[in-house]
Amino acid sequence: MQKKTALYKMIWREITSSKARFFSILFLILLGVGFFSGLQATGPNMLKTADDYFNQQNLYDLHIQSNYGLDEEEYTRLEEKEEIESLEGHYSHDVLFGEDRLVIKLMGHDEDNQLNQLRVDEGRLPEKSNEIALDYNDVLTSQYTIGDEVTIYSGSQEANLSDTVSESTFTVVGFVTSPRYITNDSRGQTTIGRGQLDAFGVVQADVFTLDVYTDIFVTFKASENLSMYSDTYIEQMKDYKDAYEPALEEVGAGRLDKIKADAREEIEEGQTEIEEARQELADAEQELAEAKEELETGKEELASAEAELEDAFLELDREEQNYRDGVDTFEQEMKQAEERLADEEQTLLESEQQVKNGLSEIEAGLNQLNEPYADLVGQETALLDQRDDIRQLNQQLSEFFQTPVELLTDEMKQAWIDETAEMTFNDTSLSTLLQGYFNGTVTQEEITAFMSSADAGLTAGISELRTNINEINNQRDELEAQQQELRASLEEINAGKQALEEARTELNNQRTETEQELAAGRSQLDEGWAEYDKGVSELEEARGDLAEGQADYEEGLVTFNEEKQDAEREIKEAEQALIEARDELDKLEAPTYYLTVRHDNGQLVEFEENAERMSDLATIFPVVFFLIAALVTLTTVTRMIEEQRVEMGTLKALGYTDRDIQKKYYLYALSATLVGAILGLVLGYTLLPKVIFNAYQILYNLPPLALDFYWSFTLISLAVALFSSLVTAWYVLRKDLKTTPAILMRPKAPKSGKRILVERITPLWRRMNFMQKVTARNLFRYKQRMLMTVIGISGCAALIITGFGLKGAVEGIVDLQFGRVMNYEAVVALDSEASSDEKEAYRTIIDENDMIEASLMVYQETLAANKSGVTPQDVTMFVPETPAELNRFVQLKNRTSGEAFDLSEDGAIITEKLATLFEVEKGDDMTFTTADDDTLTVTVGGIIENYAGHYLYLSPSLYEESFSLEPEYNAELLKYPYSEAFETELSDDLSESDYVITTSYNQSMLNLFKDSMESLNIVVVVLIVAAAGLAFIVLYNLTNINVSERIRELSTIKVLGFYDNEVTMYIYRENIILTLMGIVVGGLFGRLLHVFVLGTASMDNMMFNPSLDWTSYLYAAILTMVFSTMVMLMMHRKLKHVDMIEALKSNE
Amino acid sequence: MSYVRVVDEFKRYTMGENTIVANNGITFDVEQGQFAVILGPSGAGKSTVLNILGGMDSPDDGHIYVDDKDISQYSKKQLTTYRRDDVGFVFQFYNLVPNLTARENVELASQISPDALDVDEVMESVGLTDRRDNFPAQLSGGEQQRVAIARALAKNPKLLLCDEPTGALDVQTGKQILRLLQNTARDFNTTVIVITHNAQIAPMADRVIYIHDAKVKEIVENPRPRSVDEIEW
Ligand SMILES: Nc1ncnc2c1ncn2[C@@H]1O[C@H](COP(=O)(O)OP(=O)(O)O)[C@@H](O)[C@H]1O
Ligand SMILES: [Mg+2]
Repeated sequence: MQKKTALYKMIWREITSSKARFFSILFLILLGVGFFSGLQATGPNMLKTADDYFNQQNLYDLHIQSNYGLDEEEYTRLEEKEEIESLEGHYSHDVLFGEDRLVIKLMGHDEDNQLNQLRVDEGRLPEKSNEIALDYNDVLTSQYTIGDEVTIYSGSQEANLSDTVSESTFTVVGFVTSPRYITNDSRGQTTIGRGQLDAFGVVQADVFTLDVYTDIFVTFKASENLSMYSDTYIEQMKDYKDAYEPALEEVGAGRLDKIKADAREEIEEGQTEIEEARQELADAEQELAEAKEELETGKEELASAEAELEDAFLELDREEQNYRDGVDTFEQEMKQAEERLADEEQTLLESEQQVKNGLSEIEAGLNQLNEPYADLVGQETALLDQRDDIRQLNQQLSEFFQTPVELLTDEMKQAWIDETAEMTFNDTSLSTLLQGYFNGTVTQEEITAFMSSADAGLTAGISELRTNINEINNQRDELEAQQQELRASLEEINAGKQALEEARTELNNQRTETEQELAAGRSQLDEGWAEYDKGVSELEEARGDLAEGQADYEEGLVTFNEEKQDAEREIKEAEQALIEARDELDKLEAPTYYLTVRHDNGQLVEFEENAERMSDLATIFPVVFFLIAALVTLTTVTRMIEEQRVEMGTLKALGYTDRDIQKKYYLYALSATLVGAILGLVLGYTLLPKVIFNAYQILYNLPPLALDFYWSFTLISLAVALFSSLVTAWYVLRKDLKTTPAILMRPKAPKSGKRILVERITPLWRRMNFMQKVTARNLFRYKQRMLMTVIGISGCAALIITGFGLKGAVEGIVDLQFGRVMNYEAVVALDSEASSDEKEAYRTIIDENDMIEASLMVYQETLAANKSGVTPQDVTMFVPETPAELNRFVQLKNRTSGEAFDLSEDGAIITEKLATLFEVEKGDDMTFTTADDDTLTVTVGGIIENYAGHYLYLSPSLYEESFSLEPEYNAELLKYPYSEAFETELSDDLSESDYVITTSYNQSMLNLFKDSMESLNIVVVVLIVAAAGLAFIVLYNLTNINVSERIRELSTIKVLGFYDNEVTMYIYRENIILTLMGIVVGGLFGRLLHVFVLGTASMDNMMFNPSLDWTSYLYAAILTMVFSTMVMLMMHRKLKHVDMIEALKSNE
Repeated sequence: MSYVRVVDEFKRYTMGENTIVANNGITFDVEQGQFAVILGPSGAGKSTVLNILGGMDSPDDGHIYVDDKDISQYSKKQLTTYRRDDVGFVFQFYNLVPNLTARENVELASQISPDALDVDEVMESVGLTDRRDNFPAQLSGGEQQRVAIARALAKNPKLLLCDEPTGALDVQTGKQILRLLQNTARDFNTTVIVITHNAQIAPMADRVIYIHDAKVKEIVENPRPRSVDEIEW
């Protein structure tokens, strides 16, 4: 126990003190094991991934199609089979799609579908009849996004889209992947468009209006636990396929009868339809004749109506005149009567006025009399009064006078004066007289005289007045007589007025009466007119109707005449078709069934081949690493033992057994190997397959890689790793342990110098400078190390060359294919059913374009080449219209012999890879299958250089001979000097032509190709990283050993005064030379490796460019030098710090 | 001024917690063209001082003047140049490049030296003209040491330093080597310093420096050095 721990301690110390050595062994083993296990696992991992994916998506095991579609009969027959797990009928139809008229397979999807489940990459599956999910491939994802509206078109003019599907415009709702297609590009053949499907689209199954399924998919119970790549599976499926075909054909016979019956019925129907059409035609003619007759009657009726109306007009007109005259007379008479009445009235009024004037004059006269009369009366009264007064006063005075004046009181006197103040006569007032009387101046007599004169004066005045009054009364009587007279005449006038009024009333009555009469006449007349107008407009209408009827009739006649021709022709055609249909019906054959299993799908097989190819690569690369690991272990262990001879000798002398001594070295090698191997396995199983599969994922639509652990590869790589390290250790130890302890303990005599071969070539030797000589001698001193360095470096260079070579080989073909082989720039796919106008318009576009140097009409079709033991291949067939022209568009030369071909002479030319795959030589026959399942057998007239795809060039005469049918040219090759601007312009021009379906440009294909090749960079990177690791480990380890072995020598020259870089160069000069030698050897080795890798990595439809470009060598050389220089810099640092004193102290 | 002057030179080695003082204030001079011998027991610090003198190591303290230049202040690069141009070194274990012939070993030095002597002449002076095309493994110890001396001399150094050059040789051969070294000092006016722990060699030297316990114990001037043949041991 104690001993063991001591041993482990010793090993641990050994490892830590020589890390570089330990890790270089570890890393080399890691690289070897990692590469081996990783590459080996990649293939199985890829297959497992695909198998898991197909199981998960429930991919069909058997796919059945038929030229009649598949009906219930087939379905029920299959349902009986017990071995079937599930069975589903699907719909699909190939259509043209979108602006660019891409060719897509429209597939029906039902929610209940279990088989070929779609993987939704974006969006969702269609849920409505106007929704579509598109193929998740570059062609569609680059042009469409979710939400776009897309339209589909029928692939041929004979077929109506509506016969198959109920919708033609869809909204994109998602992008999906179908397990039926695992590559990103190829979607198989079709009979429409260019013969190649671009993509698929998924719509609801209900959108299809077909009454038969187009596809039946089947999975078998047996396949459940089998890997689809296992032989058992392949055998089993083949057996089912072979058994089902006859079974279905049995059903097919029954279906034929049914189809025939249906067809007959249809023919009968067709016949009836024709009869009906004929009847319809006759009916139409009859109808037209009737219409014509009706029109004539209408015309006549119109004429008579017109005449009647004319008469009515004349009568009305006459009556109108009468009416107008009546009105005139009436008005005249009325006027006269009114005038007369007015005159009379006037006269009356005038007399009235006169009378009234007279009366008023009289009145005035009377009134005039009133005043003087009143005056006179008044005067008379006044005078009478005065006289009365005077008389009374006289009486009183007389009494008064009786009384003497002295008795009179003053008061009485004053009352008398006051009372008689007004008593004046002849300007003498009584009062004054009285006064005088009182005063005694006037006697009583004077007063009595005055009184008597006053009375007399007054009595005279009164009589005068009385005469005047009488006169006036006379005048008044006269006037009143006159007045009486006038009043009588006024009476008279009023009576006249009364009479006049009466006359007027009578006139008015008369007028009203007449007016009423006239109004009645008027309205009668108006009614007449209205009636007339109505008649006129009715006539007008009738006339319009008639004209319309005429026009209708004429139009109807024209249409009829036109349609009659068409209809007659159609009827004739239909009759012809019926005849043909009857003929065909007689010829009708039983349905043909097409059964395909998974392995009939080239893509799946190719994937399998790609995966298996990885396993081949898995053998060669790790061999390089293991070989070098063994060599490095050899040197390392050798060096270790040399360094520890004394220790070994001592141990041996002390009585340790060889086994004990060996143990340390074995354990050292074992631990490095085991750790390296385990790390290598871990990295190998995880990292490498993923990196490689990532590159493949550009080509394939598969889920992420399913990783797995494989005992077989683990054990193999472990065995090889252990063998390469332990066996070398054993080999070295065996030699040393044979010697005695004494010899071991003595320092091993330094390897003595020896003359080398070069020295014997004196002239050369002499020309070398001192340092060169030293280097030369040193190089050959350690032959083992020299060999190993060269092998290591050459391995590094070879890997880099292979990496770049592989890249160049694949990328190179793009340039060769599009630069050398295909000399045209574009292929225009043409619609052979286009009208001649459209064709001419297209021709003008092409002919008028000055840039287009040449154009060639071709018939293009995709054929399949089949041969047992060879994966089926798609072959593009070109039948050029003028075969002699073809070599202007395609280089028709054999790659190796340089022989040039002419299609017009050689008839059928195929491409090199196709010939290689099918082992066909010039003069051999080769058979192809068309999409319609016809076969074409041609004698190969030439094999030409070609890198991508397979082509068959066929002369039109040979085509006619084979298919007894003239080729319908459906494409044109265009040749012009490429420029992006021109191509954009051209595609604009071409997109306007209805003759053009689509144009594919070689330049864009080239770009697409180059993009997909980018994935190869991964391979290059992996190889370069591995190469770098290899170069580092080898150079570092070997240089390290070299330095430690020659440390005395290096110290010596340091003491001698060599500068640091001189010291480094002293030892590294050898490495540079070894590196150069390694590069040269690596060039040769790389070339071999490249050829091998290309051979194993080759793809069926691609031929790699086998020549290795000089740049690959250059890159390899430069990179190797770079790695070497980096190791040199690391060594330089190390050498700088070498302690020369220490190294020189003892004698080793 | 003396050609070589070591002034109060110290060199210490730290080994874990211990400090070993290999040179503890060493001071001595050697004149130009002198044949000097450093004498002292094993572990006294002789090799240490010689290595410092030869530019292979630097002192921790003190100054070393060679031809009035203080090499103790030199950078690594300057030291290399100093070794290259001015110093010849001879070791106890010859340290010849096994893969080079005797002549080539000498050439190795002369290649890089600015005023190198003619290789063949040097070979002749050490008496190896006949064996010059032999590899070291084909030569005896004495012959190998002579090649080593020839290699040192070929650079025409100002200073020839020899660390126990006779340590691995028999007496007779050792004598030959010493004679060669003595003659070198005489004939080329090269300053030669030889380390030995053999006190019997002391009478040959122009100056003997006794080192003991990392210090110079005594410096003895020898006005009449004897030739090798006069010495018995
Ligand atoms: N590199 C070194 N590391 C540690 N100790 C050293 C080293 N070189 C010399 N010594 C020590 O220094 C002392 C003097 O050594 P050295 O000069 O070789 O002695 P001499 O040459 O006189 O035999 C010794 O004790 C030795 O162990
Ligand atoms: Mg010593």
